[in-house]
Amino acid sequence: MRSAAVASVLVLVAAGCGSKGEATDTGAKTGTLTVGASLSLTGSLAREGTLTKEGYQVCQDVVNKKGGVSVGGKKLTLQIQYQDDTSAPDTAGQLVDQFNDKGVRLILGPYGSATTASTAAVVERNGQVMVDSSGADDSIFTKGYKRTFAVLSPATEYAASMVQALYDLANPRPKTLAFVSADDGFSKTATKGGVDKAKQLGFTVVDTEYVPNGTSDVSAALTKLKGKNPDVILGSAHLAEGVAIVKQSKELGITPSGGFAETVAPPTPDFAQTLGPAANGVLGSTQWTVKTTGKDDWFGTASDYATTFKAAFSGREPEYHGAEATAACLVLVLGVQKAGSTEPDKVRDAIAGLDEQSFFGPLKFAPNGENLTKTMAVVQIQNGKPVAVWPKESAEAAMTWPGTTS
Amino acid sequence: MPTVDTAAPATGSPARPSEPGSVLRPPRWRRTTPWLLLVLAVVAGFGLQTQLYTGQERTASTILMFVSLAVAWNLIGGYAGYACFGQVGFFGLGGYTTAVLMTHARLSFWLALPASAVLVGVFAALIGAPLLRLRGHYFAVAMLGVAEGLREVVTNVPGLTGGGAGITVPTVDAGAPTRWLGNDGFYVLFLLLAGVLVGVGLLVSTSRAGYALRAINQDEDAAAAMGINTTVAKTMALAVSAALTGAVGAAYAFQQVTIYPERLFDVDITVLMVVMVMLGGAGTVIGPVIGAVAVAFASEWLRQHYPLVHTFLLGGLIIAAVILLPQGFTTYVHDAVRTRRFSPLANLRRYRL
Repeated sequence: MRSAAVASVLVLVAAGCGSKGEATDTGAKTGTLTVGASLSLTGSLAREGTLTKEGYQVCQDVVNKKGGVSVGGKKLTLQIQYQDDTSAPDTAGQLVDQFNDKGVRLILGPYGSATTASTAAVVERNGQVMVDSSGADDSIFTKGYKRTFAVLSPATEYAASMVQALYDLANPRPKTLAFVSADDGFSKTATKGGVDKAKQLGFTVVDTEYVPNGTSDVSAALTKLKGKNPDVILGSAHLAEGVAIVKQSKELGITPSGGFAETVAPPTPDFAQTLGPAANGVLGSTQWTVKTTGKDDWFGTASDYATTFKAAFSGREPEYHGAEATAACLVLVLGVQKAGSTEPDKVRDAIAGLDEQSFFGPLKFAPNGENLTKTMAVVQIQNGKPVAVWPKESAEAAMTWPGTTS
Repeated sequence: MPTVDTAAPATGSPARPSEPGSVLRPPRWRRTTPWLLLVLAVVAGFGLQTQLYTGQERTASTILMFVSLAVAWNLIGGYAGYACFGQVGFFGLGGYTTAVLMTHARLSFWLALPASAVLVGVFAALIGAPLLRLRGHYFAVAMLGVAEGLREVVTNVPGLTGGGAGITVPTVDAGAPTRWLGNDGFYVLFLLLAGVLVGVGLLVSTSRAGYALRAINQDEDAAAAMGINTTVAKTMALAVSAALTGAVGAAYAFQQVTIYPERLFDVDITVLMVVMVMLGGAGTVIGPVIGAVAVAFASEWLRQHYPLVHTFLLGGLIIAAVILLPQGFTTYVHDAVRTRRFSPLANLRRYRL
């Protein structure tokens, strides 16, 4: 009971001290533009979180090297503060609240749709502004939020872009498609977008099967597809499920006459490394490639960006995770410059009216905050490497078709 | 009763048997002081609220949530000594019950919360009947399996729970059964929940049931020989612990609005509960509260100041605490006061580490 008394006294003391008040951003006075980023630096999304951080870091370095962000005749040094949300959506929301307490009102998005959905709600409530670099799930943008802007193409485009690529480039053009989708929000939305696009372009969707998110066993779903003989199997899944679809199809003797197409797995280097030759010919979709058209004053073209990135990270090739993060940071910088202020309301209005070209493609936002003018790119694994094949004007090589013969 | 004599030395603060028959009834001040302190602490919690920024308020709500969870785990894991590694299953089940009731049945949150607690309690009693026959590691592993199994079930009934895509509790549109409470509201909700749970802990600690659980912890066969119906006592403890955990899960689900199976059944939450109780002092009333506040506060502080290595540092701190205070903070203080030996080294020797 003594300890109980001690604890209560401590609580009472804590209650007595401290003072409540609104912290204000002193950025304009101190010459820095402080931006907050809650990222998954540990936990299940640590890898993607770190890639996102690299993209933010490149942006900060380049912007500061070029003199900083000009606001009302002054140059402000860009300073990004990072916090670790341990891949948990509730923590991410909590961290954005904490940034607000400290007077940090401009936010760069976390990695992933679940954490982005949670932070977007907090940003809206606090009157902050967030530029989302990786939360692609359309459901984030159906809630009427006015303060979250996504640089990337929405989830509905991931499978739809590959369907369009098949329609434009595949010869002979396949007739029947089957979808295998993970059951998380992002993958399901991507599948829905793909199915709608396929119907619109006159393909027959013979089946849509759902598998648990993150599973490495998709054999039950594939067995159901087998009898329906689809020309192309489209996987809307992450790396683990994506690898399983190709690998287990082979084991079960399922050979679609066209080939495989999968959303986010093929562009990551791990996909081709894990599958070896079986990966060749598989299509994938990506937010960005080094051939993406467009250029801006800060980063130049996509290949200029690749050079900058390689110089910063000892020769490593940039992936779309880094590029989309840099693009999000770029939007914030452009918004602040256009507004001539670091006031969140003014920055929000400036970003809403933005219409710019960049190394990441066009940056222009629909009223709900999605970047609908940008198209996705489709890659194909050729000789163990993902190469851009669609859209044609930014292709590195022609599409090999059917994909299964190579 | 003879059972009480064997059980009493194991308690955090045993009453000295001054006259026959008075063992269960310590002096009046000893019975009322804890309740007064509890009321004071809750009042202090309201005082603290006026001093916090909204962001800090949310962090404080999380700490209060972990206080509740640790106190609930202590009932089965601390008093009865049944290391329940599936506690997060009850948390998730409570959360999903509330989310489903509010989404599909449009039930008010204030009805969904008690309904979730009751459902989780009944579920725990049903699985407890067979599983509590297992002891030690076997029970721990079986409960771990229950939690994992519950997550798979929730993931595989997407029609009801939204599956892996998560479920969003309606809180803003016109048809919302209960409006979102805001950071202020949730702070109060979690504060009151923590107050109620500590109150339940106090009741259990001083009741016959509490002594029966401690007797089971000491030696289950001996307890049974002394006339305690161990099956009933254990099952009740698990059911009450689960029901309270389910209620906390319900509040968490409403606070988060959108919930996902991975987070609601995250084994990390169970591990945190166990660590908090062990560090604070298992089988005491105040121990889990101190443990939860200390661990949650340390984890938050480290994360803010060392974003890259905070998990590593927290792990190191927990290892150091376990080595220095193997019996938990509360029991250490109690022992030290009783023996007049305050040195942690003396404590190390006492526990032969």
